Amino acid sequence: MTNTSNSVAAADQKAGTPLVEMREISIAFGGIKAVDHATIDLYPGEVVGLLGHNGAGKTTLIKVLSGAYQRDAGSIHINGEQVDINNPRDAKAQGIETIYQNLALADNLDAAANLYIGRELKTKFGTLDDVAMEAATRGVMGRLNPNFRRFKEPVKALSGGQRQSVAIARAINFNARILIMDEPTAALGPAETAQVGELIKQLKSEGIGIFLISHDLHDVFDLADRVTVMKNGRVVGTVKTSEVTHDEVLGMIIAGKCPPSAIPGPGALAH
Amino acid sequence: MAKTMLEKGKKEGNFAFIKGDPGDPNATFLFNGMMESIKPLIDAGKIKNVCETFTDNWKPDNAQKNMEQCLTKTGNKVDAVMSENDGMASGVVAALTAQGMAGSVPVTGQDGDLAALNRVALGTQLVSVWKDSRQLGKVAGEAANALAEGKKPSEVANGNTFADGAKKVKMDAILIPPQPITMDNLDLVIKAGWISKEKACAGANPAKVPACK
Amino acid sequence: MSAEASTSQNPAREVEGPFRRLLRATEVDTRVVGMVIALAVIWVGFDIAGKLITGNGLFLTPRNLWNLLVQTSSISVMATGMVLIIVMRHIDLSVGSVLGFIAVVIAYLQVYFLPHFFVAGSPWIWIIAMIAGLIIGSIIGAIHGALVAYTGIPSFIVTLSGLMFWRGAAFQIASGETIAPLDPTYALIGGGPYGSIGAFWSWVVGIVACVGVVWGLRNGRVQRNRFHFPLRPIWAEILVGVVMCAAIIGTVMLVNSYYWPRGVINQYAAAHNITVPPEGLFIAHGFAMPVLIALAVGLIMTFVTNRTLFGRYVYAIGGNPEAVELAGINTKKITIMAFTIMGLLAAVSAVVATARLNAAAIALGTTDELYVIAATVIGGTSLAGGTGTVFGAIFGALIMWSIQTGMTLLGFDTPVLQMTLGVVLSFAVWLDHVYRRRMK
Repeated sequence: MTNTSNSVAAADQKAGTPLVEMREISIAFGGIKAVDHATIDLYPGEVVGLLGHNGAGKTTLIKVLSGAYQRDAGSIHINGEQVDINNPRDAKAQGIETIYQNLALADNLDAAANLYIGRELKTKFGTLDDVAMEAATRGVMGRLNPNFRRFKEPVKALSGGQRQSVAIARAINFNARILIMDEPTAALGPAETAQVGELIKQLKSEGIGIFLISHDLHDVFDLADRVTVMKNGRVVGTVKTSEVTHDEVLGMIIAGKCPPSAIPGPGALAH
Repeated sequence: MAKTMLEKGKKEGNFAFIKGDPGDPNATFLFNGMMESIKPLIDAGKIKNVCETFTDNWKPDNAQKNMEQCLTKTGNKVDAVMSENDGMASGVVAALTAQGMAGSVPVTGQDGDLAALNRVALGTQLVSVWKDSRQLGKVAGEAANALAEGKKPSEVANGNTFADGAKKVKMDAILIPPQPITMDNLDLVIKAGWISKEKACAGANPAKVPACK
Repeated sequence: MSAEASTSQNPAREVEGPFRRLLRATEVDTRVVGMVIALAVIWVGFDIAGKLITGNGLFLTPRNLWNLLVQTSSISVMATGMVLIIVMRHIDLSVGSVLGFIAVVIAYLQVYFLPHFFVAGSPWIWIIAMIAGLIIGSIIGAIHGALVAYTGIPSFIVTLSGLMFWRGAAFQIASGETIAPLDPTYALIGGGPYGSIGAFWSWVVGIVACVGVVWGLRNGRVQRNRFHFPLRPIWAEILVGVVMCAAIIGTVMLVNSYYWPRGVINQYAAAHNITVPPEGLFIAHGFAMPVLIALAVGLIMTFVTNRTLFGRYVYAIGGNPEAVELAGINTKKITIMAFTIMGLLAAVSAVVATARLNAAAIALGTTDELYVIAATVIGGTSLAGGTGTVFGAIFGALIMWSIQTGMTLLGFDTPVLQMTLGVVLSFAVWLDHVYRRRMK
């Protein structure tokens, strides 16, 4: 164990309370521990990359935060205070928004209906205020994707990039403090990927904390401040992207071997 | 059914035939049975077959629709309706009522359906052919007993041979004659306890129906 | 992220013909236009065929069209509910049996049960029986919905069980017999000369509907103006209003030109001591009650699907159930609500059917589920879920019933009819499929 000094340094640099802290989270499906005592944190204006093989537990862990799954054990803290997140509504009430890998769009509805799903604007008679929703959608889409015009069409008619921007617009339209992005660039071409990168930087500068789940090491190194690696449901370790090489991170993913600069977790290979 | 129509209903004019479900061979048997008595009159030019429709599932509502179409087609020039059962007759009568024709156009039926017997009393249905199912059960039971006692089928009381099936195969049978019920002999079913007098005569004119006095 | 959306529309605009420009300006759904044209072709086709074959084009007579509307109403009422169910990727095979069961329940209450508590002929008898029927129908629907939502049994199986169970239950209650006759006032709900609202009130309905159309168009404009959205050109707006009003007025004129038949006039005259003049007495039917009920249900269901949260979620679930779940919406509750509405509508149809027949037969509603599903599908609802309109379902029912009526008038018997409907069903769905692919 040679990491004490590094851990102190990390703590110094990120003084103050973390935006999100998930402590000792465990969740099992039918006896299989999908996530086992995982602890991660995220500071305002920071991007934390979550890495690991398929089935390493990263999406499951993040679904606990977004309210899609309920944890079996552990606690979640927002700005230092323990909160209860038992369903997607609770998460949204805490300012946690998620962009899922499959985008979770209702393909048969238009952009505005998708943007406001579960949070529809209503008229004074209690009916849907489609015009107001479309107006707001035009506003937020104008910021993200100024060329977008197809507000009346179902989103299945849109291109991959356009659909992605609808999903992102939904996440940022409601003053999110914490953004979870699950493979945000998986379906995109290079130009669109670059655009998502720009957007992440912009959101970061606004003080939003972002969890970024990705397979693409290059993306993660470009965008994330720190990475947390998971393996077999356990956290291998957390490390600043400025202090490791690609190969060292690959070593964490494949072998569970922590480099000296990392803070090891319960899943780290014993020395 | 057809005989009653010819005797007490109409002997000539435009006849409509409301047949049962096309998937049920009984629908065609019944139709052929009716035709035995009616065909000669059709050939003689006295009766005209103006509508002939099958009725999905013997459904009264389908019979009603088919009857409405029939009335539209003929411009209400229908003089008698041969319905193959009482349920469909209820649809036919409902269609006739909407045109103000119920009561003046004789309608047939069979089953001795309670609602149909009431229609007979009201005059909106001419006849309902009644097969007393209790008698059927009784005779069948007696026959079974007799057979169990070792009697030969030919020795069973009222036994007969029947060879009028589709393939004309000879078989032993007890034939119970079905009873056509009209306004005049409605008391038969009431006396038999098949239907109560109140039910049968609800809304009927006792002056016209002897059984309802 | 994409510039292709804005560029791809420009060349299209240059080559489009006047018809397409008209559709674009009026923002009318091309599928609606397609269905209206299909119906028009069927109607005119049968009329011409009638002239050729029987020498008498009976189809386009007020009498036949009036009958057609009445005969379609029971199936259309249920089809509007089936839209919700199929859009949610479910199916309801039980509607015909539920109809039969509720029919028997209503008749049983009216004829055998409630007369113990009220004076004979009291209007409360039929009112209570009817309301009880509607409530029980809703409860049955809710039970089906809860089974689908909570047990994980597929809706196909739940409602297939319902199909058997409720038909059997109907037989049990009625002990196998047809229950009749029903209350004369109640029977008016089923239509017929006395169960129609007459010329004056039909005009009132027509004018109210027209005012509603104009108000709706104006309101849409005001709403869009609120956010400075692009508006339809004013000529297109007026054109849409005029066409819709003309259709409404035309329908009123149609139902008002079907006069009471002579037999009914004579009965009426005798009962009211009127001497019928030699040239005859002309009393118009106007809208029949079942048609008004179907129209009201159609309007309400259109409102529910387009303007309420519930309707939005029904479609969203059809598009992507997981997305709706992740948005924190209680999809089980939505499922139960949809099936409850379906049960209620089956009960409404039961009221119409029993009143029309003036009896409750156990067989009532048998195989209706298949016609309801067929009407819904012909009207453009996809079994894959997510798409379908109430308007389309009603049109689907009209198309199906037009074919049925037309062929009966031409003298074709049921077997030929069934064959034709089978072909039409597949053909309609194929057309829809081709259309969708081309729109992509």
